[in-house]
Amino acid sequence: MPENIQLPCRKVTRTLSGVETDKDTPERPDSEATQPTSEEPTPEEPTSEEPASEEPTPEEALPSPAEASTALADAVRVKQEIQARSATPWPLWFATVLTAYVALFPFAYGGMLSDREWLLPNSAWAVTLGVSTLLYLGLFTYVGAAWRRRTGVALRFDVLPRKVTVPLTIGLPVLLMGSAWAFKATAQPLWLIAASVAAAAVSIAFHLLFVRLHRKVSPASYATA
Amino acid sequence: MMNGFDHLIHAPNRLRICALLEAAGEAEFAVLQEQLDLSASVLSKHTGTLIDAGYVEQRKAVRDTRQRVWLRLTPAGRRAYAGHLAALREIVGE
Repeated sequence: MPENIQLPCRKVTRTLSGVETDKDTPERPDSEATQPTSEEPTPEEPTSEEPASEEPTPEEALPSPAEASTALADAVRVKQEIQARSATPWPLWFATVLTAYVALFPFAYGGMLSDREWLLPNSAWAVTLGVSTLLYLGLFTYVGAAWRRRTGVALRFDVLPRKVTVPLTIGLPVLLMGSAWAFKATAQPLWLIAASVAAAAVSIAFHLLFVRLHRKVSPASYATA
Repeated sequence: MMNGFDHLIHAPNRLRICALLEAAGEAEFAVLQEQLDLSASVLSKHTGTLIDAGYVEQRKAVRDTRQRVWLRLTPAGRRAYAGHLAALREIVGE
């Protein structure tokens, strides 16, 4: 039996904050994170690779104005960085689907509402509207889930400023439906054509706006093609 | 004691976690790690503290056979974070 064999040992210490530290244990490599059987650490299952670097704030002390200003600036910076991720645009194929849907909607709804048969029977327009809406909603559900998986954040509809989103949420339905009623009243298909072109332009403009907003501050690591 | 100032949130990393979750609505653990440049253990410790305080809640979801943890602020967490920001602004004199 040879003597003085040094077995690998782990130095485990306890810090003031109560976290065990193993200085011999390296940070978990990224490749480990892709192992199918591994789980990412959760608040209930903390790993003890390094101590928390923050000292607890004394209960009595309040930050100085300079410290408070720094904390506020830090919070604003974090917020801006995550907003870029929240502004990740739809994939191009879905932006195309969305544009096609809003462009088709005035014709399908107008044809369905029309008192006289226009190009197709009213029932055919109704089926077109129903099928395209179901298809759109199905794809939206799919792409929404995929978007969440890819970005790792919740899908929000308040990423853009209100001065942009409020006119859209009111104006687009008015445009899409109002044109159909105008067509019903006047029998002029120009209403439908104008609404279709305008809706498609709005859809493209919003996609480009999200692309621009996303690229403005997002790191290259998750920028979309 | 200043009204709304929350010592638990004020720790720099916890303030950043709250800022991120408030802006994102809900975020995956790995996203917080990447955005805040924190190790898993440090992030786990701070989120655990926020969860214990009732400021953050978690949801587990499976993706690609791996379990992912999603975190979000609770209504109490949102209120506390908003109150804390207001207190900081008051200190700054805004």
